[in-house]
Amino acid sequence: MPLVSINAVIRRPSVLLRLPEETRSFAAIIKKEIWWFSLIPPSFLFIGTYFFGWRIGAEEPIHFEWPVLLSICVFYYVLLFGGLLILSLLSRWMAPTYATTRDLGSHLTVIVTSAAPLFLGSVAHLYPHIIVNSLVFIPMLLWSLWVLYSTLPELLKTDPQRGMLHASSLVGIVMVAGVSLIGMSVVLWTLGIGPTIGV
Amino acid sequence: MNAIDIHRKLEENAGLLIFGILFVSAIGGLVQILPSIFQETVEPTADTRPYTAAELLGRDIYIREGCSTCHSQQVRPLLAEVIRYEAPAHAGESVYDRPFLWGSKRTGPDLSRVGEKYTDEWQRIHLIDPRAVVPKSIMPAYPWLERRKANARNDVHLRMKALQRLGHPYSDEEIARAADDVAGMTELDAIVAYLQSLKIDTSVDQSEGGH
Amino acid sequence: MKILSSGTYSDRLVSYSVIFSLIWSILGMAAGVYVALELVIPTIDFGQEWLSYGRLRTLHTNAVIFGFGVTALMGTAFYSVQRTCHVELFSPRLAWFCIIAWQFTVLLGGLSLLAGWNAGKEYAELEWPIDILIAVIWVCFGIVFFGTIAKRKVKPIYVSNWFYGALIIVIAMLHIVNSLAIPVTISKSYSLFAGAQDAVVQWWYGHNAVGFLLTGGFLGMLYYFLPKQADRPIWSYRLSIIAFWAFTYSYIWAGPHHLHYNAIPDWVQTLGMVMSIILLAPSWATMVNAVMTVSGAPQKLKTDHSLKFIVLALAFYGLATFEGPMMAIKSVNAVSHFTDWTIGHVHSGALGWNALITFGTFYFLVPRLFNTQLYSKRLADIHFWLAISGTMLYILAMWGAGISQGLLWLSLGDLGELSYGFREIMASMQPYYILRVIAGLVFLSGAVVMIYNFFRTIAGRKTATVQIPAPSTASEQQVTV
Repeated sequence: MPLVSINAVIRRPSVLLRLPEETRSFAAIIKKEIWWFSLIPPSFLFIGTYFFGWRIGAEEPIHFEWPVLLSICVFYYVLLFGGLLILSLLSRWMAPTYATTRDLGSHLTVIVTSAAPLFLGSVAHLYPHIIVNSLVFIPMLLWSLWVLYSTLPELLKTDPQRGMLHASSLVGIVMVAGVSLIGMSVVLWTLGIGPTIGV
Repeated sequence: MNAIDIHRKLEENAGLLIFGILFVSAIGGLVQILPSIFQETVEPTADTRPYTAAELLGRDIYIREGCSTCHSQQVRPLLAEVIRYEAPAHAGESVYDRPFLWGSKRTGPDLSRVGEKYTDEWQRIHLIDPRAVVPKSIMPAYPWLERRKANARNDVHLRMKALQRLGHPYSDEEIARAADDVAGMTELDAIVAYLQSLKIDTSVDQSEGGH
Repeated sequence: MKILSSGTYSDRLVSYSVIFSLIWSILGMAAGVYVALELVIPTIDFGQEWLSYGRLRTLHTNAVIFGFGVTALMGTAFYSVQRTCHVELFSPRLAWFCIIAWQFTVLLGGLSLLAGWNAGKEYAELEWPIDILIAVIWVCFGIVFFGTIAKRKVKPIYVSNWFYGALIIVIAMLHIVNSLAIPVTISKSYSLFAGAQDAVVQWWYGHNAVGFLLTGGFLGMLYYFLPKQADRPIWSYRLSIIAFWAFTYSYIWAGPHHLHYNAIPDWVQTLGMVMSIILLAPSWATMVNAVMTVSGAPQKLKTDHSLKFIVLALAFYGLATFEGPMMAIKSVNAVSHFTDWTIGHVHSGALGWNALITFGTFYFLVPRLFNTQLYSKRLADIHFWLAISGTMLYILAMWGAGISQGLLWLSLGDLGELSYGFREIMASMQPYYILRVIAGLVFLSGAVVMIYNFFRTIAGRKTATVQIPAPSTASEQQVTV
């Protein structure tokens, strides 16, 4: 069957909504899709950073030695791969509250389909300029939110209202996870794991 | 009687509820604030003195224009910060600051050590038109400061008198001649005088950190 | 439903407070967008003092907190205290005075800020004559509110009233102490506190203004309007009790996290940090309580747009009350202090929590107050998407700016020298500041859509008169433990 994630962004919504009939197992999705899907953003980042460096508005772009760059991209990969899995586990954990299906594969399908616009939008990493990436990221984020809210009820076999609640809980979790990551990376930097900062 | 029953009593009696809220919410403030009033009175450092009439007027203009919303006046004892701004803040430097102006945002740089880093002339030009000396600056311009007299409301002596009442060591004759001291000064002169007074306190042993 | 022989609820003043609150929301947010633009194009003050960033930014904070926020709190407090007590307001005339006098005070305050009257302390910039006005009106607010509770026909005091009550009592304490000053002229006073001591008092005030006004008061709104809209009782009564008292106790201690690595004693900083982290528990307990309440009645979301906003507000509440304790940790704060991350955190709370739950509550109130249906569900949907987009865009822009600033300021090269000059870092903030302007415009346009919707809903109608029903012994005092 066609790839879950690409479908989300390329095919029409009616195709998307036929997905529940073709549920696949959690393990199958990981084996067939997630492992290479999560490779997309880190690969773009590696290529873009190698050629252009990070342009964050300072006069000189920031370049990395390739071993360091590789470790950054590996970390990025692990984060994305792990994030998709953990989010689907958390989503399934909330299932009793919102009377959604307990099938893990369905939850993973929701997470991957919703994340797909962002993953594909990471093509902007090919030119790691802060403005370019922001301008691409924002519409992709809104697209992701739209996919999440509009497809979750069908994919998780629940009514629209409970679906909306479940989706909002996921949005809350993602925001808290996001800010936690920021906090953790800041703490790591102040402990010396990262470029030198004088704290 | 278990806890829920006790709480029911509180829920059914508005007076108890009000008292309960007041009592519970007052504790934190008392613990954190009272010591600074009774036990740990902060002494001014050897170099810290009350603001002169001109500096006082300048400081009040700084407050009026909301400069604190973009500029901090508090160097933290963090290595990179000390390299950038030289000396960390000491509590004894702000004893005459009413209110304190440590700030909570640095859209622009920290100003607590800005005194005599730039000439008076640079400060004047920068305040009238920031982009004339810092091309990418986003600071607003303050052209009206050079059009107004610093002591236009003729109240600098009243201000110093109020501060004297609060314990600032001004002498009566200092207050009496305050108006003359600032006669003819513009608001621009006053605020430049204030900014130039913000200096490193060389009397403090820097190795002891912030307090 | 048995009708009590005495009276109807005093609801006209609630309608007026909703309208006033909405007016301030537009004015306050427009000022916010303008100052955001000034940080990109600094010359749009055209050399006018009253348009200058330093004054306009203060106008923005005061208009949204005291204009939009407090007016909404007063109105919803008056609406809900009557209904939870099954009585008309104690002294409706005094209540009217509170609402109207408050509007004048905010207006006067706003004009004074533009004129340059500024006490120099954040969220307490208004000078002493207006501080006195605020105190007087606040006391009247307390009299009406607690007076209504005193004559209640239902024995137990409902949980939303504990939160509104805490709002009134604690803000009174904070305002009076922090505003202590010696007046010099009508427009100038000097703080009774100086230097480091002033810092601790100011942030005891400042943090708890957030805690009891922006958090506590709006939790009162949540505890009344959410179960009302979901038509279900609060999920856990026991949890409400624990959360309320833990909240009231711990919030007060958190002030010093605004002063990490500043010249105040280490023990005060550490205490502030520890209590801020502890505060996460009661905050999230409340969020869980609310989410579980809604999840028991999802079918209401179909017809009720207000619930959608409240659910979203809860997600942002979770974010903000997690982010706060995290930023209170000293090693995180070393990077975040003085940066735009703090601004991002403020707005995730102010837009994501405060604005959204107020809008949700207004979507509930407006049709009911005027005994009609909302003019357009489609416009409410559009508003929903504009609100979530604007808020997320704002937060992301400020996270980007703040982390960038914080880390670059502290960045050292191989030889221990600073890697970047301050001016360079400041100039690199521009793209984030542009994104923030767009975010503000998106959010503001959502609010405009909402106001148009309400205008068409209300046009030509009067506030409905509602008879006060007798409390039914079973349902009013039912608790779910």
